[in-house]
Amino acid sequence: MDDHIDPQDSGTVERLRALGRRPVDPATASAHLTAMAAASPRRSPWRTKAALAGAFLAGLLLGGTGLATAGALPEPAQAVAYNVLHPMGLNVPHPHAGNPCKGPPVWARERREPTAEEQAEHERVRREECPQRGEGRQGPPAHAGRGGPEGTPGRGRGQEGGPERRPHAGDPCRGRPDFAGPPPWAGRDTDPSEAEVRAHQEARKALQEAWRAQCGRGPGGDASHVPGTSPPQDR
Amino acid sequence: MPHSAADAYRELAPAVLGYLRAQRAPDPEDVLGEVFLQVARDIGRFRGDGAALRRWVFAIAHNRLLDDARRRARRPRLSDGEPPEQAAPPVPDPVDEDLLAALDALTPDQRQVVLLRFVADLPLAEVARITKRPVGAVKALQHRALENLRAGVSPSR
Repeated sequence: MDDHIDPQDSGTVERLRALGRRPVDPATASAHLTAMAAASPRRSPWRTKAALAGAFLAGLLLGGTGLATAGALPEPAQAVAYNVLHPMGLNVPHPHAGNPCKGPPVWARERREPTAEEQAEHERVRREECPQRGEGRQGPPAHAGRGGPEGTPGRGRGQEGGPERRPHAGDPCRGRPDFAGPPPWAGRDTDPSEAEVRAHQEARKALQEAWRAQCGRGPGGDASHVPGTSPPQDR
Repeated sequence: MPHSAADAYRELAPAVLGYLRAQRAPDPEDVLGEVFLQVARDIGRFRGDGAALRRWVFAIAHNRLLDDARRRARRPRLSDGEPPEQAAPPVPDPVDEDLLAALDALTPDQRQVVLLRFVADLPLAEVARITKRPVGAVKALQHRALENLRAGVSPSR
């Protein structure tokens, strides 16, 4: 860009430049510098907004965590808080803690592995005292509708596993008990691990003993037969 | 490059004051203080080199002059009644009054361009950015302003 100054104008230009070289009066400069030092630097609007948003989120998080720790959140929110914060090591009460039907088992709250007895007891309590999902208070247990006992065909309505009522719902000694159902790996493509098989067998054995103690006989009236074991050959 | 407001003042305040005086700001020292107060508040957000700092400070001064002019235009003028008694004769200011008078005779656009160009010592492109005009228009204004000044000022000082 041609920024050439005509030599005839050089004197005028020099006089103009001299206007900008006259020093500021020292007293005035001192007053200005003092006022400038006292002026607080303005933060950029973006930083201010980011700081406000951060403070809001931090407040929300802290407040929410505090309420969750105190168990003061509404039930669904408390359940979500439990599921999120409990695995992180925070002591957040489950909204149904102490309720064996809805709350987590005691070993989950205490962050430890269950013993076989605890697991069996938990299963028993749930089976006997808790209404099943999708059923009324006396609904069938989890294996309802999977066919008759020990390989006999199912009874029509239960073939597809739909939410129908079982004829003996509410009576654990009649009909097919829970432990007579297929193992958890049934229908899976992969074979179960040895530990899985062992754990299943132990739990099943404990349930069978509990069933025997309560009912005292096999489903067909034979006290020697416990459902889930091999059926008697002579029947 | 980080800059401090105090350093900016020491480097640029004389040129800004000359610019304000030549623009006939009512109280140039006062306006100078306001300009650098704004610089002190906003210097943390400023990013750029020395040339950018010069352009930024003069843009602040330019905008403040425009704001002051608008404010004065809105304010009612006290024309009736007796004129206030003059307390003391004005202190003679040893500035180039001859040059300032010649600058007064220019159009506002010419004066603005020639002051930003030579008192503020900004290149044509920066003057164009501050005045929001094409560079060609700024160059033409500078040419006519220098012609008028050459005719208006006495050759020797």
